[in-house]
This record gives sequence, structure tokens and C-alpha cells, in this order.
Amino acid sequence: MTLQSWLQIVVTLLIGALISVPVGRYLAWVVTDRKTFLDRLFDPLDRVIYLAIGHRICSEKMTWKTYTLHMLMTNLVMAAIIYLILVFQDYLPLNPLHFPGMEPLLAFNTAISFITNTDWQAYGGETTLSNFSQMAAITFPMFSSATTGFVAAIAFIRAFSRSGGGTDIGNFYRDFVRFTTRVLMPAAFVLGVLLIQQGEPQTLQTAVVAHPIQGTAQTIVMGPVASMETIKHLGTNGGGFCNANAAHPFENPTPITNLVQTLLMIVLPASIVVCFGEMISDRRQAWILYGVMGALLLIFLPVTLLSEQSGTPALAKVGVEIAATQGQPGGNMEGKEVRFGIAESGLFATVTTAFTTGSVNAMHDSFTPLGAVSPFAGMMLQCIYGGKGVGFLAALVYGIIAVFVAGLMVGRTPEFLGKKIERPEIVLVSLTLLIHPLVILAPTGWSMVMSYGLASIANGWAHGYSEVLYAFASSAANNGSAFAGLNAATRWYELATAFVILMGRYPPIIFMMALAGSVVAKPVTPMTSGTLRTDTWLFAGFWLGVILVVGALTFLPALLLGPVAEFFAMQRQLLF
Amino acid sequence: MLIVLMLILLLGSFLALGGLVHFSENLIQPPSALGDDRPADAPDGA
Repeated sequence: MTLQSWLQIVVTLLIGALISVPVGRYLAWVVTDRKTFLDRLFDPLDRVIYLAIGHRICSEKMTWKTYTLHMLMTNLVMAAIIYLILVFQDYLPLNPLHFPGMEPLLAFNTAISFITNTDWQAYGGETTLSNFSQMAAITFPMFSSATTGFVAAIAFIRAFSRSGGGTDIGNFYRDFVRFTTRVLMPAAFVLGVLLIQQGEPQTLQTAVVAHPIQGTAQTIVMGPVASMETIKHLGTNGGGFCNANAAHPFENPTPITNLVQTLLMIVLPASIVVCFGEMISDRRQAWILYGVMGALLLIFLPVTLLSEQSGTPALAKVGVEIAATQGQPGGNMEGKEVRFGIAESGLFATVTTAFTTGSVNAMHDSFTPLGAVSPFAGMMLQCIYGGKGVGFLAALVYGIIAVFVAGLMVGRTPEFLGKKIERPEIVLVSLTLLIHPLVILAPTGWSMVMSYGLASIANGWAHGYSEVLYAFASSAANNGSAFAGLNAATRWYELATAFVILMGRYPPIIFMMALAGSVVAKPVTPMTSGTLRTDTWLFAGFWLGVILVVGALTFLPALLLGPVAEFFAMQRQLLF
Repeated sequence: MLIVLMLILLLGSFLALGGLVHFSENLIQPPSALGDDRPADAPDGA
């Protein structure tokens, strides 16, 4: 890779890190009900929303159970509305291309996918959805699902920041409304205008017909793209207006939009860590966690970049220039936009899976075997910053495991952020940790032995297996990116991925909220010489080690059968 | 028919998740509520 390529990556990551600090502090202001500069604008809107929901319910203190049940109920109602919109879109307005209602099983899959922040798409947006569906059934849950994940994380942090004795972890509706109106709505509006200025369509005109020199008329579908693109990345959603997602010139037309979209994926998941430090009044602890997540990102990102730049022996044998030069990018350019090249495609692929967004500006199916390892790692570990709130919670799960293991090793009381870690907490983090590999590996195994699972695979041998593994990893991590090559629009994959998406999303949130309910009532234990400190870089190294060891023990065998086996085959010029 | 069936499946899924909330609540009950004969405030190792 050229120096310019490395500089692009370093500058992008540095900007993301720098932005995350003030944004994180602003998030802390929002969730702790302090005055913000947007209050004058949005307070009247908040009051209307609170009035519609009911003032009493919006002001009561909630236990973890009440908070979680209200979260589930609102998600259910929204999912049902999305489902009905998709199924009956032919009876709804803004459908001038007369798309029929979505097939019920696909609509079920799509509703679950979007309400859970996954945005797995077993359909092509521009050939399936009306503009009304794109706005009301796709863009709307991009706001609400991001907010759901965020408020779960905030409630969890509150439990650790309270001195104990109570059961209150905040009010779900108040958190939900304030995060939407103080963060997502204004940011999405301002950045949406920027994307329009860069050339992204924002129109209710549905299509134009072009007459290229081949003579065949070509229908180019347009719509409210820019408004979807901002929240798609800001909310780590990832579902595209078009099937090609952020590789499509309408969704990602310029280098500036590519930079902005990459930064948008980074900013809020990274900011939550800063917000965490502000809420528990311990910035040092937050930087330790930030460092652990950052180290993981820096471990896996070069694997993809260097592997893509190395290309394949088969390409080298036929005379393809592998090294990047002034005039050409070299390496493996299959499935990549020439305008983005290897650096921006590799960075986007790593960020979209590490921050569990799921949008793509290159086809991950065309990556080299080891180039696909970091997207796999991002989704399997789920804590390299991770998606909105949920990635942060996953990182804390590993942190609690690290505290417990380290405590056992050195004979000290396991405490995390001053709260004792006892049997219920360990049971809950273990359940959270186990459910993720279960819902990835079990359906992958099942798909690889059943005819209806194998029938969808387009490529042979290890690569075909990787396609299936990727589909379930993406679903379980609520990522939504696809490895392509796999036909997911079948009954088996629509039902199986929907189930995996649900199990990958809600049970971990429920277990973590229960853990919040357990620790909120515990008093803060004073720090003594017997306390295992979690705000040291030594502990950060241990935390990182626990993540890597647990992740490797869980997923390495599955990766050996796919990308790693394919890598060795590739060395013998066997391609799939 | 399939439209209604999928809607029921959606409702059922969330109902099951509601059940998981109750299951989790039992997990964090103090030891005495789980039938453990130790007092809830017993010291570690008691």
C-alpha cells in the first residue's frame, strides 16, 4: 500500500477519535438531563411526545424489569407496524412504480431485521420497496433501533453509577425521546444536507429512464436516499436504499461522502465509551476500555488491508501488478470500486463490521480469505466498539469475565466499578456470552448438512461455507452486511436469519438489563488494598487477552474451516 | 393467511422474550428466594 493510503486511514481514524470525545461528553449531558443548546428547539416537541405517551409513564422511575418490558413492547409495536407497511405497500401512497406488497415471510424477516438494528436485506431495495416503505418501514426504524440499543447501554451504566440501595435505572421513554431529539434527529438533518450537496438524491420522484448507446432503455430508480444514508451510518444500521449499498454512486458518490460515512459509523459507538467515563465520573476507566477496543481495531484492520494488497498467487501468475503504483492500486481489486481502491474499501469493511453497521462499499465476498477475517472478527467478538450500545455492553461482559478470572487467579474479591460480582452476575454474563456463538454456529452447521441450506450456496468448498457462516454471524451480531454469493431469499434462510437476529439482539440485552438490576441495588464497595483495580493498563492488557482467548476458543475452529482453509488452498492457486 | 401467521409469529416471539425477562428476574433473586438456606446477607464463604 502506498504512503497516501496509510495516511488516509490514519487521518480518518484520528478524526473519528477526536470527534468522539466532545460528542461523548455531550451524550452524557443529554442522558443525565442537563441543559443542552438544543433544548429551546426541541423541548416543545418533547412535551408533545410525552403528552402522547402519557406524562405519568414518562416521569416514573423504572426498575430494570419495567424498563426492559417497555423496551420490548415498543419494539414489538414498531415491528408490527413495519411488517404491515411492507406487506400492504401496494395499498399505501408513494408507490408510483406499483411494487406489490412484500411476501409475508420476507416482510417478517425485514421487520425483525430493521427493528433490531441489523438491517439484513434479503431483497433489493430499489426493485422491491416503494418510497413510502423506504421512509416509513426502513428509515424510521433506523432511528428507533439505534436509540433502543443506546438507551439499554445508558441504563446499564446508570446501574453502575448509582451508589446502591435503590432499583431505579431511569425512564425508558425519557431516555428514548431525549436521545432521538437531542442527538439523532439534529445530526441526521445537518449531515443529510451535506450529503445532498455532495450529490445524493433526495426526492420523491421515483425514477428516470435513460437511453444509453446500447439502445435498451434503462430505468434508474431514485428516492429519498440522502436522508436514509445519514441515519444508516450514524445509527450503525447499514441497510441500503439500493442493493449495492454504499458502493452505489447514489449512496456514496464522492470521496467526501465516503469519509463522512466512515466517520459516522465510528462516532457514536466510540462516544458511548467517553459518555460512560463521564457518567461514572471515572474518565481513566473509560480510556482503559477505549484503549482495549482501539487495540482490537488496530490488530485486525491491517490483516484485511495487507491481505487485500497482497492479492492472490493466481492473479500474480497471470501477470497482474500486485504492488500499488501511482497509476493503479495493485492487489485484489475484484468487487471493489476503483474510485475507493483497497485502502478505503478495506477500512470501510473493517469499520462496518467492527462498529456493526453492515453497509458495504465493496463486495466482501470478493475479499481474499484472510481479508475477510477482520470482518468476521468484528462480528464474532462484537466488542470492537460494536454497534450502538450493544457493542459497549459486549465489551463490559468480557470486562466482568476478566475481573472474575483475574480475581480468582490472584485471590482478590471480584469487583467491577465498585460493585461486587457474584453468582447472579456471572450466570448472566455467561448466558450473554454463550448465546452469541450458539446462534451463529448451530444454524451454520445445520445449513451445511441440509439440502435446503446447501441449495442457496453459490460458491464451492470452503468459500461456500464462509458465505453461510458470514450470514449467521452478521445476523447474530445485528450487523446485516452480506457476503453475497448466498441466496438468502429462501424460506429456510428468511426464517433462520430472523430467528438468529432476534436471539442475537434481545436475550443479551435482557440479561444485561437484569445484571443492571442486580448491581443497582448493591452498595459501592470502598476501594482497599485488596481491590483488583480495573483502571490500570495492566488490567487493560488482561481484558484484551480475555477477549482474544475467549473469542479464539469459541470461533477459531469455525474460521479454520472457512477463510483459513481457503487461504491455504489459495496458496496452491485453488480459487472458489 | 400467511400474513396473519407471520404476525402471530412476531407476537409470539416477543411474548417469549417477555418470558425471558421473568426468567432473568429469578436469576437475580437473593439466595433465600431461590430456596438457599443461607441468609441473604451472609458473608462470603459462609
